[in-house]
Amino acid sequence: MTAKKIFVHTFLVIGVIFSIFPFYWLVVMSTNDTSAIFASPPRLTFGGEFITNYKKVMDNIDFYRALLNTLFIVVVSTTLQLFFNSLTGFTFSKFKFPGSKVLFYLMMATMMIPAQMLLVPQFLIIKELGWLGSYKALIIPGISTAFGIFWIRQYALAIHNDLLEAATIDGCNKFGLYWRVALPILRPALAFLAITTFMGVWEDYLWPLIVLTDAEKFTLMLTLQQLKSVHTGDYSMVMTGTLLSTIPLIVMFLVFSRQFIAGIMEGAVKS
Amino acid sequence: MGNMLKEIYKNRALYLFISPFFILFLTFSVFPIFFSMYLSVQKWDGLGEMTFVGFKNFSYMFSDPNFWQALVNNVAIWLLANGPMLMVALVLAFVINLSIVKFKSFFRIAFFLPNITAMVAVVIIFQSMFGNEYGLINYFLVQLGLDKVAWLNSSTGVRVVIAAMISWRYLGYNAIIFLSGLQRIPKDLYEAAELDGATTAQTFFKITLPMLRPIILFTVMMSTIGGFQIFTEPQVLAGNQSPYPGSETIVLYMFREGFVYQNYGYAAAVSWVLFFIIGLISILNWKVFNKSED
Amino acid sequence: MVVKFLGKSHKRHWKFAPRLAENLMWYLFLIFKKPGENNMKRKRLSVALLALSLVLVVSACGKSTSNNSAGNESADGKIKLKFWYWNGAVSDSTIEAAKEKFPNIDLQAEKLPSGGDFLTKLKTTITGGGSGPDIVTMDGWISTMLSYKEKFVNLYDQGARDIQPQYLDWKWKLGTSADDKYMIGLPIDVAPVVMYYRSDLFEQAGVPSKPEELKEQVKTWDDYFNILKQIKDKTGATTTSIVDVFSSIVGQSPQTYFDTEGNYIGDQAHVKAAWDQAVKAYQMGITFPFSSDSERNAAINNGEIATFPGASWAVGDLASAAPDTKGKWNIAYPPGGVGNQGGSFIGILKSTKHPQEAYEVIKFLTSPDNLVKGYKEFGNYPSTPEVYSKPEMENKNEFFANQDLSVVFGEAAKDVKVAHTDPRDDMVITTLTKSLGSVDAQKKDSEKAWAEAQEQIKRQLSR
Repeated sequence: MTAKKIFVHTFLVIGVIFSIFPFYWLVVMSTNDTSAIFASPPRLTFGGEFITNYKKVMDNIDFYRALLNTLFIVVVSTTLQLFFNSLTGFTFSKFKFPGSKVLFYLMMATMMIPAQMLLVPQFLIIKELGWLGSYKALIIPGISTAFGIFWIRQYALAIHNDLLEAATIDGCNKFGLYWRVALPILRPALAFLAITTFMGVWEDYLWPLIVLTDAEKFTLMLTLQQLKSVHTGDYSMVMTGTLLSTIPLIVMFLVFSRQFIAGIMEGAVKS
Repeated sequence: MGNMLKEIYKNRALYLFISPFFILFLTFSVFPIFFSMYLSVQKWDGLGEMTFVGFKNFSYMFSDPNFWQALVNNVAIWLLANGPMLMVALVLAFVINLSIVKFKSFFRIAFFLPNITAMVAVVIIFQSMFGNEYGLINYFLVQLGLDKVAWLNSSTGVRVVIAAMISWRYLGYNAIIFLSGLQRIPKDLYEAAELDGATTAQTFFKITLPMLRPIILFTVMMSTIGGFQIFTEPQVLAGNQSPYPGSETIVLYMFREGFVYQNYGYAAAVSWVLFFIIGLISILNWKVFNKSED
Repeated sequence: MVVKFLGKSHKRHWKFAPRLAENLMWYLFLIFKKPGENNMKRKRLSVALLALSLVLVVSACGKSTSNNSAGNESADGKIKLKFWYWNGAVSDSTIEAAKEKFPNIDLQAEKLPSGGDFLTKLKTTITGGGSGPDIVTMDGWISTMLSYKEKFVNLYDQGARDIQPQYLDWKWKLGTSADDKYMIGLPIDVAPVVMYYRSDLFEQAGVPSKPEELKEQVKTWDDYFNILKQIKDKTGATTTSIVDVFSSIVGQSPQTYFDTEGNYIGDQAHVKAAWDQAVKAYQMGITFPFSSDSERNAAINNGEIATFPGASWAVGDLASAAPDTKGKWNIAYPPGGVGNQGGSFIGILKSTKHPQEAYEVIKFLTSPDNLVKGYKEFGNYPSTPEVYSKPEMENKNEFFANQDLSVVFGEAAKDVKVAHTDPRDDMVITTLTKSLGSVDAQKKDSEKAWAEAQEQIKRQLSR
């Protein structure tokens, strides 16, 4: 047993080293000055410049306002997406109704269109709706996604039909089946969906760039771009900004991935 | 007919549940989709008049060696990157989920980090690892008394590098998908297996794999769709230069031919061919992995 | 054209940058731009659908203030002018000075992401027609903007002829229409391509190593190759890649790939000569392998690259990419003539309500004195030759052993030759450089590579 334990952990630790290295390097770069980054061989250990770099970032951009803007968008988007995608995904997985198959395949097909093809026509629709410059333009088009629905649908297939029938007999209507029965079981799936949605919205760049009109409402990714572009590029400052913008993602991941803890399915699926 | 309407009326709540997606689809996607279909049989530089060219865009595409090269590159990179990665991700998720593993949340975040790490850092790392002259890997090869490998000078080398980048970025991501999928397997199944004296490997093949089938289908579908839209990795690897030999994927080809060279109708045609390729492979995937679903 | 440094903004690489995203977006815009008769119907349909969706959707996102007031007067009666620029285009102190100089104007300067993103945003805004800025900076892509010149204020109508003599003629013309009746952007800076070199390695090899000597003795590319050969033999160091040599030579040519009538001339002698020269340099073993930016930067830092042709803005990039070589570099007048790579403009959108006031502002921002400030702050070399000899232009840099860089840039800037540009240049350049790169990377036969590239270009053009 211990030999197995050691083997498994060694395997994991080797993997971790590969996975973590670029991130570690990002941290190293943000604690050094630019010349240390380009020195040959490059410095691979932490330096003492982080505070200086941090101050430079804060001097150059309004980091915290952009952070708050982004947090607002991301929280609203993620909440709405979790609700609508899980509702639709659950419906597709557990009910048959006229047209359900066709509609499902139609939805799947939308994922196969190169997404960039639709980007700018969507911008013009946004413009006609008068949403330019508003966060509505960032939030509404993305509240229901084929990716999220497909994911929830695949996951929800595991929910036992007996369970739904029993609940129906107890007087649950269809929304009640979703809310009372499915949602608790879908928790790990929702956690993953929350993580990807959060990241997707957080890192989205082109769409906010074209629909936002006011620098005060810019998201973090847009604001960070303003650090780049001076010719005497202060690389360590850019890396510090990048690192700072990554930290909320890590926190978010830690929060949601706790939902992966096993045990929820027990009882729920037993027939 | 009346029965059908009755059936629809009876299920009205279900239509309401799925309506948000389709409302958004009708609002934001339908017109652009039809327009790009129309555009695919036009010649248009983006400014002047459009001219109807029938299927000329398609015939040019099928006679263009660069298009076929891009298709070959794309399939090669896709298989090279996604096949091994999905298998490793599945094993990784299974291992992290084992009861003997400590520090589960540390491993989860550690393997997920590549997906969060900003591309700027990733590019620097990969360029400096696989550089021909100064690359870290070649440095070690020389230390070991071996020859340097000119990674970025041969199609195979470039594909390996790009596949490595993709696998690296998405291994943890897919492992997380599997990991959450593992939670839908009832624990008592494992307990029963343990009582029967099943080995870890047996549990994996007899319980985990079959139970995960819908989730595996999900990851396979998503990596097919993603794999045929690979764009970022070859582009950032090459920086401002034109793509390295063997790395031009279909989407890169489409962008370059259409949007850089201003042949917009042509780009639309390529994107529709791409749509059908992805669709075809997705249907195959569906048939292979969806057997036991119902 | 020349050396692309790690971490560079794409700003100056407009010729080479793939410009994918922005072109894509532009195209999609134009699709919608055509005001169809079904426009109203579409609008009504989308509004109806939207209303429906809003009933179903819990709308948790208010806060929609659309800022459609381009050029309106602000509350305190000031004229509001919105100004979009990217970090490094115009110095912040100049903007502050402009605010002081025009107390009746509320100048809202907004920094946007640079490079292709800036262009994307600008194009979408122009086509969209609303909530745009009044004043914008423009980069090398001003040539594509000239196709939509009616979207910009004709600066000649605002009196730009009066200040024309202040600026370099070739630079001025880049912002005007072919018939010189319409001008859309006042020049900010220029970026002449000069020769960067390691004076210590040159000395070690026993070749001329003073800027003046080089200017006198290294006049042609052949001269350059000869000294490079000696340097390579003595020190092992080279110039940058085969493609850089090619691009630099073409960049010095008064004509490149298309003539003014739009005929393809990229298969003619001037391009073939540049190609052959580059191949010759490669065969002489005096070029660094065609490789990634990080490889090249490492080679520069390790002293394996002794010289390269680089634009004036490469100063800062070189200093950050190769810190270990500090104090060993110099610059000199380039062999073969002077090309230009980059340099920006500032213009006014037609949608502004205050073209006159906006013109006064941009005239001020690009005044010779203010351009000197931009040079001091960012290294943007001014486009106004009258300031070149001013004492405050002196630019001694430790990285370059305290050489006064302004002298060389000034001489070069006056001799720049620019060629006619064409929207199809990108296609030709990509195809040629890819093919030329394969002569090095895949050891392809140079004549075969040339023929293949030309065949491919003609195939593309014949569509």
